[in-house]
Amino acid sequence: MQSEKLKFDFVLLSKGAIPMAKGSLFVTFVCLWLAWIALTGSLNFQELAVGAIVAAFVAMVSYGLLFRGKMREKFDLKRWGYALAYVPAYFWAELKAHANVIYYILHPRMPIKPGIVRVPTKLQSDFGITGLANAITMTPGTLSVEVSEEDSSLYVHWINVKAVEPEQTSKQIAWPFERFLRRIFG
Amino acid sequence: MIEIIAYILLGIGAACAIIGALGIVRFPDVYNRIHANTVVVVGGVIVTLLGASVLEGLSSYTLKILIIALFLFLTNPVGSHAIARAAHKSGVKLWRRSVVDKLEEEKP
Amino acid sequence: MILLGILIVIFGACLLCALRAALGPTAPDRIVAIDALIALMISALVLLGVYYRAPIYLDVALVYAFLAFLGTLAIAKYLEGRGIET
Repeated sequence: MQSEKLKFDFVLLSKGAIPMAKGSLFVTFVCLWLAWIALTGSLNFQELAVGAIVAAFVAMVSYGLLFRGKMREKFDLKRWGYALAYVPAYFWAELKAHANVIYYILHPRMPIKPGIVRVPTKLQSDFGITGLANAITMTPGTLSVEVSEEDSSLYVHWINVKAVEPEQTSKQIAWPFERFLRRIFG
Repeated sequence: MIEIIAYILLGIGAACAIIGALGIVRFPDVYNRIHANTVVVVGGVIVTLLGASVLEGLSSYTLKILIIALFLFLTNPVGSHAIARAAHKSGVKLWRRSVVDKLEEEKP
Repeated sequence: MILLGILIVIFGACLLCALRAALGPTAPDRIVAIDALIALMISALVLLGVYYRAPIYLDVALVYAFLAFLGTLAIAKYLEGRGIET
């Protein structure tokens, strides 16, 4: 499936049939080139030239996997504002979760009640669900075990189960991240 | 001043690393140990790398250290999720005092 | 001097992870412990690179992070297709 789409994009690109693709191709190329420069750590002309060739090749093959949709949506200022506001909220959630789990580790009798609960989510896009699952896994104390695509919900291992009902779990686990992610990714 | 901030970050990182490793030893089953693994990687390693980059100042070292930290930050949840999913599929039981297992009930 | 103390603490954490990797009753336990061990070794490599002023340590740490990620994914995929044995 994925490789078919890749070949399709590659054929269309070689005919020059996608006018929208130019922008995302260029953005991918610049990002890859900056990564090359950061990794080599030198501004020698030969290094830059080899990096440009390699980055152009990799960008041509793989830009279709990175960017979907129109370029206009990528530069919506409101989404970037929500993305900036997401950083301190994420940091705060991370800090609280760390303090919680460190308390459980250092407590002599270890008062944990682990269990796997179902967390429904309203996010639709692939990027949104991936971001939510990654954020849930990144905070210690919650760990996404399985992603169910048909009813768009996550199965989350929770170290201290406070509620089993889907509304309560969604409010306590997913809401601090979903509040921002549904504005960023939709 | 910069050095004091760097050493505070390094101290927090070392404390989180040793506490998380203690948690990996103490917790009773795989899924709980993955929480301790997250404490080690995020609280221990990434904070230590940030402290090292602050200590280093502006140089080519800093950029490389930040790239390593970003890479760990992006790949750790993927690895944890893959291990947890594989453990649940291959039949590792939850701890005997676990409260609920919705995944086993709804998707056998 | 402080860097060396922090390195000793990190190596203590490595010993605890190695203990769990040796004890662990099931295979995923060992994978989790070795994953944490590799992350700790990466931070130790970076600190050694800062201490000795040698940038080669950082390259080794970067490649080690890549290979550890690929190895974790490969072993997890391998475990999905088989039952639980030690």
